[in-house]
Amino acid sequence: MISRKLKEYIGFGILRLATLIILLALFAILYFVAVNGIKVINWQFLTQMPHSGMTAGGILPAILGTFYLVVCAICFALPLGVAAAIYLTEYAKQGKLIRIIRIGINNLAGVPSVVFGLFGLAVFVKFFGFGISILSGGLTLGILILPTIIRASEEALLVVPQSFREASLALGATKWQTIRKVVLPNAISGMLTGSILGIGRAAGETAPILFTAVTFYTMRLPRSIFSEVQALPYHIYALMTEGTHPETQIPVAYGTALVLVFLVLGIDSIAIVIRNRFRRRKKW
Amino acid sequence: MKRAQKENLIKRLFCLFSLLSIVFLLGIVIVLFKEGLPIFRTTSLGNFLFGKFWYPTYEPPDFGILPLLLGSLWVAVGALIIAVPLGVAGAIYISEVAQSKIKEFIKPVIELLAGIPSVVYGFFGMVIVAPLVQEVFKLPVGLNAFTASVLLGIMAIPTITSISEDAISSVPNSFKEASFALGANRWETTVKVTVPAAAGGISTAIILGMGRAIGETMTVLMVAGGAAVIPHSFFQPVRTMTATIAAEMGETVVGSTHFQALFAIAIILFIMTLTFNIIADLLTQKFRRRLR
Amino acid sequence: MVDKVTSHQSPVTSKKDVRISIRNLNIWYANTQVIKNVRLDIEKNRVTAIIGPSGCGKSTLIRTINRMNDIIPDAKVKGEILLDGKNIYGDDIDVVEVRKRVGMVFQKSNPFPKSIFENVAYGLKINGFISAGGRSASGGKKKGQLMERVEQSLKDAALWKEVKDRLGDSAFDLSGGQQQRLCIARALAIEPEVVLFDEPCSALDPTATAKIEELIQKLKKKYTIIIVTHNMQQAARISDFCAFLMLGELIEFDKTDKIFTAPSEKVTEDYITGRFG
Repeated sequence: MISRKLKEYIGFGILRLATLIILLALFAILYFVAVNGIKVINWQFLTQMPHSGMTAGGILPAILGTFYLVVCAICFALPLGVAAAIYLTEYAKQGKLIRIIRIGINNLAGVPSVVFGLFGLAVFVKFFGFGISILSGGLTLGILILPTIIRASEEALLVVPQSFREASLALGATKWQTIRKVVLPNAISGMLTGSILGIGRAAGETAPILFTAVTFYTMRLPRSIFSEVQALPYHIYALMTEGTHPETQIPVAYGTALVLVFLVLGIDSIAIVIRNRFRRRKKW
Repeated sequence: MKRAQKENLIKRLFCLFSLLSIVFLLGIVIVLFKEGLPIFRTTSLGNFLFGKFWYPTYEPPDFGILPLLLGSLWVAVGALIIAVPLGVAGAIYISEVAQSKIKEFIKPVIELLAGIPSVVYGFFGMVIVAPLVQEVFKLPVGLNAFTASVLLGIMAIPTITSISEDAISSVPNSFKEASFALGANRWETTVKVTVPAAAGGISTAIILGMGRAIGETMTVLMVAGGAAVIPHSFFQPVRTMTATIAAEMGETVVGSTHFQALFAIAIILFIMTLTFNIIADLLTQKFRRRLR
Repeated sequence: MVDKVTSHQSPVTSKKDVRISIRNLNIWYANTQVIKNVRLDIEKNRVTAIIGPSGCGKSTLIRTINRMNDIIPDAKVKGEILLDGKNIYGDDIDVVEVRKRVGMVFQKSNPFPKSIFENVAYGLKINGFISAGGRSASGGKKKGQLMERVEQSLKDAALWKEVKDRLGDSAFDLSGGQQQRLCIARALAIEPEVVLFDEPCSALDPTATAKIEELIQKLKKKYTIIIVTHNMQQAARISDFCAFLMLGELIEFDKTDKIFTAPSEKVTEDYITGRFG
């Protein structure tokens, strides 16, 4: 029989080891992408058009494409998500309706991203006739990040003390005046922070834009929201699976991956840092 | 009473917005069924689900998704075998063992792990993990179910860890104190009291992780190998439902039987992930009620 | 002024000066009844205190008078509360209108995270005393009026001297007692007829409490005041009438002097002399 003390020691040791493995996995990914990516990244890589069949030049169109897609997605999802969160936290009473809405939000969050792609293809590309375009891809991504934004906004609204609402109502303000003048101004920073997480998600998704927005190769930058675009995540995929010069394409893919990881994790870290500070500091 | 009317109107407007999530969810269902159901005019449901051959471009085509279904399940189960022990162990470590400083470092790091785009995992799998797997196990190709499972496993860890961690840290302190008071040490308390009390939350985490692994697309598309055959070993190339949709949708003619078949796959996929979500939802509610 | 002092069964206040009349009021939270058949008449330009052990329903009772209980889910109110003879729980009543006429100061001071000026001006702006930005040529004049009203309210709340040079500062920079007086100024700005105080001093030190008590004494010249307090001495010092509430029932209601010197009920005496509570 091993002693109880030893058992505890071994048990905690195993837990520690498991955690270490998780951290190691993350750092391995970041390390390989960073070390290999940094070699190809320079000013030209970020600001020039690609040439020689994607094996040389820059990735400007992919950077811009991702930027446009994300802007379009957030413009669509932010107002809808905030409005939904306002209803859920400020107006709705516990009951059947709110349970159904919650089930809807939870399940929308669980739909596989490729299914969003099919939805976007059938509805935005085909039915509304937007074609393969920034608009179609952006709207598809917008629906994908809607649950994230609703949840973040709800959290931000719930943090606003009930006493603010009471004070405003007791002064003869209507519910809407209270929301507009007291609740929203105090929740807006939290809402934006949460939405940043949505931005990070939208920037990194590939499957939803696969059939709705992207193209492997264009010689032009997008001119309108009806243009098809290149995008960073799709660019990595395409470089790895299409084309004929893997030995020259892989370095470009490393560079693109580093840009994407830097972008997404940068956005996420900002959101996490602000949110943690926000949670700690607010003490009305 | 005009003000009351205006207030009511505003309330209804917001209600309408909050219903949009359901509208989109229903929209997805309608679209999938509208585009996917016609396939069953040419292929029976039985042949579709249990057909062993996926030859969508042959003449006549075969639309049997059994290889894809099994491919998805193999990879997802493999991923869970990796992710559950690591993820749950990590969660226990964070909530029960780690000092608060370490905790404050690890928690955001794991959140970051969730933020890495799946295409980057796929890329990492292709250039680093697959050659390694090929070398170590002396295989002809490194792109197979095993490699995909490893990567999906890493990807599922943040989901499993963060939800399990929530469950474990919401176990009331009084439970632990009772155990300590009876002379149990921290390890015994963790294993015999805390973790069992959080079992409901942990199983929710595992089911959600499973749902995510089945729905994941880009990683498996890039590293699973892509062979639409019924898998017999983890070291064989496989193809999942998601990867099939992603790889083939671009090459189909809109409205063709192949197009319909891909949407029909999406129906199956949607039903599977929906089921996982609903089970997780029910578990969460049951779990909450019990702790109260 | 008060011509008849009898037991709690019949009104102790004179008919013509009654501002608020609570009739057969019953309140439930979910399935628990927290107020049982309360009848109470509140006289104008007087301070009426509601006392009783914690959990007796004091706060619930006072919050029904400007319908703040509406925002609590599953709160159910039965009975009537007549404000100048009109039932504020009637079908044709606009809640917002009621709350404008019946102001409220809460247990814990709750200024908005805005400047001192904006806190006081909030209710005025909301109620269209001035449209944001001044809609017309009279905008400048209205702005001046707004300033006047803010100043007057702060003076009424005995806070003007302390804050007149820093109206733009955040309300959170004020001390606890100042914050509470700011909340009073904010409530007074919209010129209510009745002001409800829900344990306004429970979070304050004795000096700040004394200031608020003095203020309440002054305010009754202009307003009808109802105050909930768990502090017996406070009720004795500042109120004209006193209602003793226990387990949701009104045990005794009378002139404060009477309640504190010769209560008709044994429980009242026990509570006042500190035998329980």
